[in-house]
Amino acid sequence: MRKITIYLSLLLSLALIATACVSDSEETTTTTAATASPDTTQPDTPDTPDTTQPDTPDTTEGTIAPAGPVLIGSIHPLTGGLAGAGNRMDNGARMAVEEINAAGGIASLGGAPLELVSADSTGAAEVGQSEAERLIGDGVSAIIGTYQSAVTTLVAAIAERDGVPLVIDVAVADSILDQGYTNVFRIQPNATSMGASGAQFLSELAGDEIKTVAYLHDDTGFGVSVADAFEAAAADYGIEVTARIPYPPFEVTDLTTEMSQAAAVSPDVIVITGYYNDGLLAARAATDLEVDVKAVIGIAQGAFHTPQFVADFGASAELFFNSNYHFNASDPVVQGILERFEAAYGEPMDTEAMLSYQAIHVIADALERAGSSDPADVRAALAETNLADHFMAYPGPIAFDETGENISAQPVLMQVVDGAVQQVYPLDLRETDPVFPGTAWSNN
Amino acid sequence: MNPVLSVRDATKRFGGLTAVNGVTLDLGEGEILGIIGPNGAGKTTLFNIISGAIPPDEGEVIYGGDRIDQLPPHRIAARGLVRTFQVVKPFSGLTVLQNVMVGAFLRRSEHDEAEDHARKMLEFTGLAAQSDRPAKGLTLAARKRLELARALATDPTVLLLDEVLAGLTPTEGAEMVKVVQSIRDGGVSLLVIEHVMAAIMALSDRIAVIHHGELLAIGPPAQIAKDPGVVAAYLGEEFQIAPD
Amino acid sequence: MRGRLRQAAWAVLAILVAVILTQSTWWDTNQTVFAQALVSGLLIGGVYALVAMGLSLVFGVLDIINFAHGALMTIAIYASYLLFDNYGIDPYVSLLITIPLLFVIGVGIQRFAINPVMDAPIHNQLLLTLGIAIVIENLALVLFTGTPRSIELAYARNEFDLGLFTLDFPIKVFGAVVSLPKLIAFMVALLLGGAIYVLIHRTQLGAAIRAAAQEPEGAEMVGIDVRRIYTITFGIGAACVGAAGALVMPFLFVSPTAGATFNIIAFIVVVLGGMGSIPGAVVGGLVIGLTQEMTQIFVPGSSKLLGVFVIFLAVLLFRPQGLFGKVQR
Repeated sequence: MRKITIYLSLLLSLALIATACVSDSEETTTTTAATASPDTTQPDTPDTPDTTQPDTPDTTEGTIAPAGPVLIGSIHPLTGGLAGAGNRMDNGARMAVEEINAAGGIASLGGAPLELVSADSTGAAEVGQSEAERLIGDGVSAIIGTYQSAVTTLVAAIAERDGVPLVIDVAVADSILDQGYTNVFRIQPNATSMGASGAQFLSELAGDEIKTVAYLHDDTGFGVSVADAFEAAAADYGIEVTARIPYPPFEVTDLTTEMSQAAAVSPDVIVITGYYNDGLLAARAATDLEVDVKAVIGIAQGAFHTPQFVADFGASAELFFNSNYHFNASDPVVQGILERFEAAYGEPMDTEAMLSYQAIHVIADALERAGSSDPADVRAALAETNLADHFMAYPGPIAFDETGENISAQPVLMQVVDGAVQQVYPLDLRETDPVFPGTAWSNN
Repeated sequence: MNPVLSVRDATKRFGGLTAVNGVTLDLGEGEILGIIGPNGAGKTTLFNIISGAIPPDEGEVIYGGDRIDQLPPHRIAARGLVRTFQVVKPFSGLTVLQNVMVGAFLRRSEHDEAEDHARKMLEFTGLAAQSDRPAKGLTLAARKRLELARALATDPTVLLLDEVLAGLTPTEGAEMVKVVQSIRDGGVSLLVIEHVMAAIMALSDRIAVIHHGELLAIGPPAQIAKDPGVVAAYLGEEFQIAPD
Repeated sequence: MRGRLRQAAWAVLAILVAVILTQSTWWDTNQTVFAQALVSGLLIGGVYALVAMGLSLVFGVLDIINFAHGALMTIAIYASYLLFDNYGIDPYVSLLITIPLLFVIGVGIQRFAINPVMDAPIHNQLLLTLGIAIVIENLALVLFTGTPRSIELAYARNEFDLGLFTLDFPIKVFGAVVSLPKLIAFMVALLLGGAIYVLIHRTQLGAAIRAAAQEPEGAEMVGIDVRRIYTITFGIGAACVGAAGALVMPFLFVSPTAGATFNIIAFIVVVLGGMGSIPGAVVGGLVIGLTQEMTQIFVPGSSKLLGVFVIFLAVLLFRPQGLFGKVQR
């Protein structure tokens, strides 16, 4: 009996520590199996080549010698609770690599092909970090990743230390680029941008009709930073956050109590920030409670803009808003990419996967301009990026400021209308008129 | 007389030590066969062989017309050959009644049927008043009777009793002897290991003496008491058959 | 006499607290929230009880901690989902399949993986079940990808006319909502819990299980095949999550880690309720469910599980045998 007690206490202390780390504004997954195992099983990993990319000595300037492949590392959660998104992102990157190679590779490197080296962060920051070190040791010219702010923070530190550029496809926390790094670039809008744009959209969408907000958000760094930014920006628009209700996103099986708390302050709207699973639970709770609000609005919410949410939640998904990054759905080039992804991988492409796809293109563009696969040269080229020909739903080109943030990145407001996720705001990206006020249960 | 249980040339070795060496004996129907011998002579090992706890290295055990020496204990018990333990093994989390019901459930699948039968066994062993007490709260004497009652509840044909009198006061011991006799009167054949000489001599129809793992002598008590080999090896000059 | 006095004092205190609570302004504005927390906590607590019951049984009889318990639940969740998605089988009908399916899987795991190491040191057994959990989880990942799926029951928001009254789901109880799938899960979980209790305490098999748990040698001696009992018990434990998985599928989501949340909670419930105690699992499950929700409303800004961990530590410190457990040697 005593031995069993000791083992149980050990196990639960581990879990306690894991959740304690969560409140330190780090994201983590809850699965004891995944976080406990240091195994990085990588289902799709191509064999790490024994040919490291040749050093491009200065003597080759002007002479284009056919070079070996350019290695690009891709770190995402391929196993564990976030494996769905992680694998899609890795596939998005893979598809981009294949298409670029099919189109002739990197011309300025003599048609050198790209090679994606996939790595599994398992959702754990330390694993992502060690994978980054491994990839750098294998000679990657750049890295993309990682979907989680906590993991990206550690990977960014390694990238900066070893001088290998990291292009963040998905990770929202502001703090990652508050370090004065020069090797880290982000193409998605950061937390401040998410929160601030979200507040701006709300005020422009509804004018005076939204004065009070109850904010439900995950208690990891992701949810907290977005909510903080929203609250600060909202004040400028005369919108008050009257209740903030954090919850642990990977441990909850029900959010009805939390939603009840939100409804109790009688807000004009309920705002939600979080991941897919908890988004689903929140949507269910709101629907069960038939919360008496003018709208339910996701801000950087992982579910409400996905085709899967609409497919699985059915008619009840109607009229949920989400202010989030999104690919430019009205662009026929983008539509082609979506079709090819679904044909190749058997599931619809989400924005996260598109961001990974985009990140590869950003690196390819930098490689073309650098004419070199040396990480330092790639980094310098990345800093000069001015890519107007991109796939995301914001008007400006992808260009990075001195901290590495994409100056053009901003979210777009979407709503589920007539059973499809549609862009409703800003006006020049509008696919359909928004329905406000409105919720699926009040519009019966 | 047709023996109800036969042991033929049973031998068991543990490393270099031969604990039981070529023991052969028969148990007659309705007989009480006492087994005596110095500590470490191999008596409990013999019980272990018969009850199936360990298989013999050589020899056979025949019960009910079949060889049982290679069967696991629970199968042998299910066939009607049941033993008790020197250090009793009650189900400590259950009540007295529930303990005996576990035994009753061997041949009865209905809860109420099993309960009725268990209560009868508790009456028989004088434990009825303690039916609802937790088993672990009992005195040693009561726990020994509980072990007995539980074994009886399985409707055994042959019962192996391992030092059922050990640790009992003379009064308790005398009562236990009466219970054992009633069991035999009810048609059960018994093999009884015992150190309390007066009791075993009075109780048994025959006595088997085990010494250094071998069967030294077997016969009616009076004959055993007088056997010079037995006296020399075990009983000592001072022993008298008639109890004081 | 002193005991009675203390009980009276506690009762007075409880009444005072209740009076203050109900009269305060907090209560006025938060009645609904409190009711919702109460209701949500109890409903999920019923499921926790069922999951914990299976774990407790295995623990009490085989003396092993089954780390694969949550992974087995994941199998049940997937099974129920696939039956629904491919054949349109209602999840509650799928219980008839998931329960025996998991029983068989449990029997298989016990006979071929665990039985051989029953006499090995305890940490070997823990690692073995942990390994099984990892294998199951990654198998699910490979077969189904990590994308979480979910379903909505077509009739979850229907009205049901029961003659005397109609139930329009989600129904309202003191201002709190009770959704149909959660209510069904709660009721079926408690029903199955009762069935298991009857099995353990009123049947021949149950007597054999308890005997084998407490004194294997003594059980052998009255004709009980203890190894077979171990196998059957493990199967029953797996059948518990076979049921729980199908019950939660309609209101949770289907992913390789779906059962993992219940794993840790189940352990805490078992420790709280007492290892090997079925009533303990029920009481413990309800208490943990309530604690979770109450922590959410009374200690805002903290993890829901904080209160649960606090209880866990308190139990280990002050009453390690749990509420219904017996003091161990």
